[in-house]
Amino acid sequence: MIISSIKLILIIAVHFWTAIFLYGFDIMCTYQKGTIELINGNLTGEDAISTISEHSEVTYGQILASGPNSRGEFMFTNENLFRLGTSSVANWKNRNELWLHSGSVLFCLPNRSELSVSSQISSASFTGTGTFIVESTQNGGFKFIPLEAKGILTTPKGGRKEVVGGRMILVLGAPSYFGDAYDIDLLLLLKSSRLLNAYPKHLPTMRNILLSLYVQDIKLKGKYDALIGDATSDNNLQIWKFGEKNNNKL
Amino acid sequence: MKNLLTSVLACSLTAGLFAQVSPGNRQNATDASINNFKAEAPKSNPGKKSSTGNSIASDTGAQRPILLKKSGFSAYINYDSKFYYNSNPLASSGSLKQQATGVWDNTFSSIFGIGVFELGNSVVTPFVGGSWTSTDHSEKVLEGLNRNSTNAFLLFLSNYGNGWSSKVGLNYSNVRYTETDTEEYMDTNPYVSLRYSHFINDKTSGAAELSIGTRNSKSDDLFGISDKVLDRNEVSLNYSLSYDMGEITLSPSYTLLYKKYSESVNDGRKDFLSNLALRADYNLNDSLVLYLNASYNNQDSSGSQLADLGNYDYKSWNGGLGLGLRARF
Repeated sequence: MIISSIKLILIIAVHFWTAIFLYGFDIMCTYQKGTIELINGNLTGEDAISTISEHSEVTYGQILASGPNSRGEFMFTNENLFRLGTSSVANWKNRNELWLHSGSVLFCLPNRSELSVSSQISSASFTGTGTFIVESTQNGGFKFIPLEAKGILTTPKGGRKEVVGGRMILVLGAPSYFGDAYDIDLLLLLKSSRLLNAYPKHLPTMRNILLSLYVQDIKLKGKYDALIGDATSDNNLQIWKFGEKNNNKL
Repeated sequence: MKNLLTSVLACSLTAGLFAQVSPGNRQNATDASINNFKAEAPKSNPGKKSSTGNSIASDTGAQRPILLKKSGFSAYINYDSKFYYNSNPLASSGSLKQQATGVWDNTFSSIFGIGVFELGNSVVTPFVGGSWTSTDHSEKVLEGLNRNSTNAFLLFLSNYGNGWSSKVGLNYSNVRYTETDTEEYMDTNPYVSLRYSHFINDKTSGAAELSIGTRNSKSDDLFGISDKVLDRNEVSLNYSLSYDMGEITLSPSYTLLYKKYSESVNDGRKDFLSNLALRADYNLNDSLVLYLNASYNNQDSSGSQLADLGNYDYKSWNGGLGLGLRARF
């Protein structure tokens, strides 16, 4: 009787700790630079704010806020990961829903996933696999910048759009709709993006990103002497022209 | 053909990631969709957080609009003119320098990509193309060897995105002497190859390529025995480096080629050809490149039934200067 009880206790303990190990956290920080703070909405005062370091665990509902020149990488239990850019504020409401207040994040979804992204005003849902950057814009919407993807992006008012690697889509307004889409230079983006280059490990989808770059290079017809900036309103996207006469502006 | 495809691959997959940013090198911003937006100078928004900021590097990265073709059709037109010294143009056995001469090659070539197909974890691109080369020797005694060479090819290039790529192709080659206007040599060459590209550091990339093919030939029947004496199977292994020195790109390479002949008096003949080459490219502008190249060849041959008439061992070296014109559509 006593032995059976001990066995039962041991079995329960093993299952308990296994459950804790596998499901005790929602998101784990795998890389951190600078200061990233975690804000727990259930607490008040100083207790609500803690600082994240590598291997820190984040549960859904907590707000992540990175300082200047700070960034972090976070892993989900299903091997999806996301990177938080500098001066960014984001909140994972649940495994499939991220709210981005400001700044930028990179999503790497090697497994088929459903993900809803919302900003101060706008929202869109992605279904599929892919690697993409979401950057908040001044107008309360965001830029959806796929580096490689096989999937569909949906907005409440704009319907569905097939996602193509290197084709940036603006998500605007509420209820949200699609703004203009632009094919952008993936090679330049890969070279200049800190969300890609300022981390110690390559993304697991790097192979797909390079294939996307290869396809774009074959189809390339020309490059504009311009850089896309912020969307200050739904009708105004900054385009900074450059060239020999304007090089001093860059 | 090989150089262009290599550069496209290298640019797309690997080397290009570390190349210098050269904005404005293709096309000015003229498209209506761009001009429809109000342009704002960066100085007017110095405090913005979420855009690309005042420098190229940012969290998101620079977002430069580009124009893509709706189809995967692409075309490359090249012209190359090079003058070089050849220490042993007849590939005769013995010393390194025999009948040394200057050689002037002029090559027109074109390559057409006829689509881009994503298949699982790879991208397949079919290419067709051809080239025409005239070769002239500066030594009068060798003028009889002045020739025109024609090449046509079909190639399926598969890219796997992790540095690996493969090719399945069919080449057709034809050589005619200009003095007599007679066909000296012709072959068809089906082949497969596997290539792996990798980075050594930010400025240096390397590539290894294994190629296997067969050549079905037709050549002058010197002994009245067979015009297929040059039929052979070939295996080659090449390793090349590309070192970006800024304005100059340095490319050393080594190739080991094994040839096994199978017909007539050449049945059982085996050749091992080693080629060590060095090339330096200097881009004068986006479409004009000046290059220097030098190479050393050493062939060891055995098994020929004509060994009594001489063997096929030879050594030679080439070195010279070339100018290439590249256009892409």
